[in-house]
Amino acid sequence: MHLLPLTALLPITAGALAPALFYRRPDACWWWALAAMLANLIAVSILWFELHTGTTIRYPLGGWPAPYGIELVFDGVAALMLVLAALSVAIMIASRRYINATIPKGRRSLAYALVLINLGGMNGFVAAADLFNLFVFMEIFSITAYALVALARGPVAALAALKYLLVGAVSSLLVLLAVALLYAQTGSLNMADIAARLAAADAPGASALALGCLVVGFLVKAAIFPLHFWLPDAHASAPSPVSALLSGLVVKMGVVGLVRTRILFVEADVVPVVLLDQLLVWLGAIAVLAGAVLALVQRELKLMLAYSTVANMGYIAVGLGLATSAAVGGALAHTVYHAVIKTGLFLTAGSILLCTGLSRVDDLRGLGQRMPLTCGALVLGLLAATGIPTTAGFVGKWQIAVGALEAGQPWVVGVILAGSLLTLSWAIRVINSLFFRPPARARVIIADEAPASLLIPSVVLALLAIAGGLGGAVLLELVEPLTTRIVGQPS
Amino acid sequence: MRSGLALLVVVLLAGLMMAGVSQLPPPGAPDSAVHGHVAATYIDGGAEAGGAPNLVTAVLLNYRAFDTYGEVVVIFAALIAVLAVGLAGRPIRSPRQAPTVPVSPVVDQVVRLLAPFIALFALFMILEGHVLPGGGFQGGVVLGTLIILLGLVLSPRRLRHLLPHKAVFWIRSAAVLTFACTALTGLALTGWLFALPEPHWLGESVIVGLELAIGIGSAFAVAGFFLSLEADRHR
Repeated sequence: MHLLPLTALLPITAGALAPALFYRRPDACWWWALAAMLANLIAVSILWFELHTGTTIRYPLGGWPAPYGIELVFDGVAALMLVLAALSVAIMIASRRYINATIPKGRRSLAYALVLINLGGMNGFVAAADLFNLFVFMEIFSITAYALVALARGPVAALAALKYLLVGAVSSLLVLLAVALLYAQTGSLNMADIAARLAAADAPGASALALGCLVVGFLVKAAIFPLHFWLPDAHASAPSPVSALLSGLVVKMGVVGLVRTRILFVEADVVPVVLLDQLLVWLGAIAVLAGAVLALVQRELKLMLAYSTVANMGYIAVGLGLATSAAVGGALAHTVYHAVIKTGLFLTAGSILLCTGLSRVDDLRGLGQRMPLTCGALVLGLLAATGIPTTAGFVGKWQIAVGALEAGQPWVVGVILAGSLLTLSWAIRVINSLFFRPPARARVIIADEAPASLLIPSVVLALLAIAGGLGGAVLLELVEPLTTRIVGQPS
Repeated sequence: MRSGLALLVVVLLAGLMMAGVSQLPPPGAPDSAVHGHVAATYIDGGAEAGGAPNLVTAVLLNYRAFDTYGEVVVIFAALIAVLAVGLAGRPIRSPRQAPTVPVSPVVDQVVRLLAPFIALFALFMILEGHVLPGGGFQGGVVLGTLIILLGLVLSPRRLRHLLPHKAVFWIRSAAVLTFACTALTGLALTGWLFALPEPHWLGESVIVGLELAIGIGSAFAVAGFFLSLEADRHR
């Protein structure tokens, strides 16, 4: 049980120690960071087994009971920590070569420190049962994310990081305003306690404003259209392992925030959440189409992947907004599976970028002959992203489509199909370029297969992505208790 | 046209926010929820339960210690972010190319004269923070500002070479690491992470130690921001 706060404490402490211990020995720092992430994975796995053998784990910090002290909770939402922990290990294995190649020696330990603190912040965020605590840990993972984007060299990365910082800071302030509004009405910061006391405050306008601020704040973090504009540049120009971390894991924190907000306001029952649901469906539907079309017109591989993240966050928003148990289950499954797919895709794209130095799809022609395993992993990931049956991307999209029919909004099915077809068309463009075109660049002809530390995470994640659909039923069963909490009581 | 549209949006949003905020109970109303629920329990429990005569400190370092830990981590992460992102790594231009204005003798003397008093006041704020207004963050910022002042007078280069490079990173992470240690001490002595240990004098000394660590951490963060900016000027 004491492991729950340790999931935040352990990576952060390891991150704080990293520059002090390894400033002059950055190579040893990689082992240190990897060890911390493996320890975190073990701790989270133990918590996960406890959750599935018993009940929800609650931890009152300092021994102060819930509304008086801060409470951490390991429930269905916090179970996302297992995905964070496992994928961050894969990212850390792949980042060694990338960080050695792109970041000057004196700053490598700082980069590892930022990644570790980022992970600790995300762990604290998903486990927070206290609204202000949620805000504090959101700041921890946000600040480190801005800096990680800026670690990449070049004017695009600097500008993207600045844009990310400004937009992110505004969204954080909106969340803080909402915390203040809810505290002024209830005198409490614990989310369950707020939900119980909000009706008594009898200030629906202030509650609605708090709901609006929370939703807009988390929509920015989740990069839902039209608040996605910071994402493509930031995710495409960051160092590739950081892109994987941001696009796979950090944007999912916005979804976690939306889910926590929705649970709070469904329980409080002061403001109807129907309006929020409709908003999510419409914005998500536009995001699916806009993200897929914009991905189609890109020339850079990483920009395509970044716009594909915009589209996929759209699917998740649609699923949450439809608010039927099938659709919400689909959205949660897609949150998990998109994390796997996109982490794998960005790591694979990163190893192509590192081995060839080329990033434009047209320049990568014929690379399939020189780097068959890496390119194969990329193809598998792309197929999973389109949502072909039995791949990981299929489960969520299918469930969301079923949910749309249940909710009586059949047009959503059309949007989902159109999004998948558009994704397929740019995926085919990439596949065609890699495997069926003669090489156009000398660097492609002399390229060699990626080294094992880059190859193994890519291939493992690609296999998970392509076979993930087979485990869809298990995953949907796992998220089911959470689904009923999000949907609320059937009325 | 564009700025007019922006103004319209801002006015609309501000109106919405004002409308929402206007429904809140007026500040200071004795029967509002803010004063009745959790805060009332803190006050009833008093200094005895909170572990510090200053209730604000009790909330910060005892009831809601985990939040304060998070804030300390935010400051540390911001410092690491600045150090990692700054232009560090590029070659430093020779100082001749960066002309510096000599410090006026009046400023020089005044800073030298005031420095011990400022340091004493910062230390007072840090160490008495659990009894009086003040505390680690405030005292730390005063101390950090003093370091910046001394850096301006003595030249940042001398400041930079005052401490060995390695020690600086240990001191910078002092607050985060001390917090982690007290969290584990709490676990060992009371069974809960982030709990203050039981005998009153022990809990109070843990609070003083935490305040000191937060003060040093904040001071070095503020000074680190300044030194990083100053270094970028020469690149």
